[in-house]
Amino acid sequence: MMEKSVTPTIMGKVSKHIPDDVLFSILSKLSLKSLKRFESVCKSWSLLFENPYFMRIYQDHIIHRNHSDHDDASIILRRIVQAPRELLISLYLVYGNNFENKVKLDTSLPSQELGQKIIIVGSVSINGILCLTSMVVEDRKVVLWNPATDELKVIPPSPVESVTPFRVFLPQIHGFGYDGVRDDYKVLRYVQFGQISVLDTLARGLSDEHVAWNEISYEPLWEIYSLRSNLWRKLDIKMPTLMVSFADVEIVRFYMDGMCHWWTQTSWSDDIDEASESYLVSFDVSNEVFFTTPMPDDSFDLGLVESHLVMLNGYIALISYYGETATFYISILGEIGVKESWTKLFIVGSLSTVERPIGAGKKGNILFLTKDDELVCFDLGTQKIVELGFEGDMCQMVIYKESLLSIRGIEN
Amino acid sequence: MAQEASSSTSSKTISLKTGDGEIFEIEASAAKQMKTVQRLIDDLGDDITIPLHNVFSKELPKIIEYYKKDITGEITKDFEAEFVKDLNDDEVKVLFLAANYLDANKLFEFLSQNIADRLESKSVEYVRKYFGVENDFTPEEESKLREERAWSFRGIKEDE
Repeated sequence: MMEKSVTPTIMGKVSKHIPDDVLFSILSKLSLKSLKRFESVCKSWSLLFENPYFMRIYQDHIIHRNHSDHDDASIILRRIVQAPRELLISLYLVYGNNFENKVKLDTSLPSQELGQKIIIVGSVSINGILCLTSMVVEDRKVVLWNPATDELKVIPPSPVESVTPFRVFLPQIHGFGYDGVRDDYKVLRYVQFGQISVLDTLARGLSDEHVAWNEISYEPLWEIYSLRSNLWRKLDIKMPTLMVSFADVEIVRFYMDGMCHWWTQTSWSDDIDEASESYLVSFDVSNEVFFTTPMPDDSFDLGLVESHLVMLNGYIALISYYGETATFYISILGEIGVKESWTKLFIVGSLSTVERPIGAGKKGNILFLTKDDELVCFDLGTQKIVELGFEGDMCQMVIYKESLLSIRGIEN
Repeated sequence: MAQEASSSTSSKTISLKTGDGEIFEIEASAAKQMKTVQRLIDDLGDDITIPLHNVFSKELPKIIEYYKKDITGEITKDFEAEFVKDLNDDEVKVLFLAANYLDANKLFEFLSQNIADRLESKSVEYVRKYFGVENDFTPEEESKLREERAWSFRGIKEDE
């Protein structure tokens, strides 16, 4: 057995001279929050984010780390093809390092319930399950589907739908998430009501003579569906809604680590001078509370910046596009709710052909739609763009990890 | 612990001598994973005892244990968790620096992640002591920085 007296000397010796590259290999693996805190350790550490050597190692770590949920995950792409009188939608399972393998998914089962115009809720599958709905808002149906087992669960209608036939039911799903505390799957939606038109009244075979019109409520509400209870339940909160004018544009939103995230804008008020604000909304699926994080401060005029939310290897990331210089900045959020914690980590210049990102896959591959509606892959590590050669508009990207989990098994 | 007389590399063992004079045996295939050791073998031959001045008898057996598992492909998350479970922060650091000296990449990466995980909940003062870094801020500079980064201090206990 060696004498302990040797060890303290060695520790004293080594702790004084840890070379930068060795130190950085530890620091680059810290969370953004810890890194920012440790900027107060000493002067050289406060300059970490301006140290190009450290930044390269840190960026590399972010690009190559894998969120454990997404190990062995592939991608589902939703493609829209504009045919003469209709939209044709298909789902493709895509895998391989260069997205070279493409398999069309058989969506006949969900289409039986939803029709052709399927849209996937969110950018990640949860334990192999997808939440699908129809692009046609009035169709309102929502299903849970496991593509691997082709098991489909039609979510029952909410009691709110049948209170009266004299109003139009306009639901908008905001999130699909997992409650880890109760082992439950939940769907969150915002429901608006519209006045039924005369034509609708006729079409529905209704007579409006004896309707107490002033007793019909048109107040919008939030409701949440739980798979375990198989019921919709009203939520007593006011939460910022997703400002989507057209249901066919699926804005990137995703579930991660117990929360559903989406990007939103407050509505334009009647006062045109009042600017709209953009922010991230994060909904805690277990506790059913929400948090908002305002967009980062910028010296640029907000009007010239387009921001898009993506999930980048387990980080909440904002891709901001400055049209004038065709430059992208990618910022990562350090802490939910904290505006100052958005940290710019990547600057990508001269991507003039891209229009908007639809999601990020492994190894920092960001899929963008170009101005010609083509799909390209931008490799954050090499900063190279690769055309993927997919025909049709691949307008939605979902990170998918196959599982044979039974939906029915959870319901019971 | 006599050395193997066989000349086939698959069962060949290498003798390593720590800085405090103890000798340990590892298989040649494990030695390959430690680039520093491999370089010394290339220079000095695999029949003599390889001297490792900066690695000591407290760390080397642990490192050998790790690479024994590695060559049989048995390194799992459970094994790695178990491997560091009973080590305190300073012991992990010494092991990490030994892995650095030996240029043992896999262990180096694993331990650097483990150290980062341990530091997530630590205070600024703890980290200074841990890395032997001196605080060269004036009190005013430091408090200004802490104020600007207040959000990153939330939920962290200020250790001694």
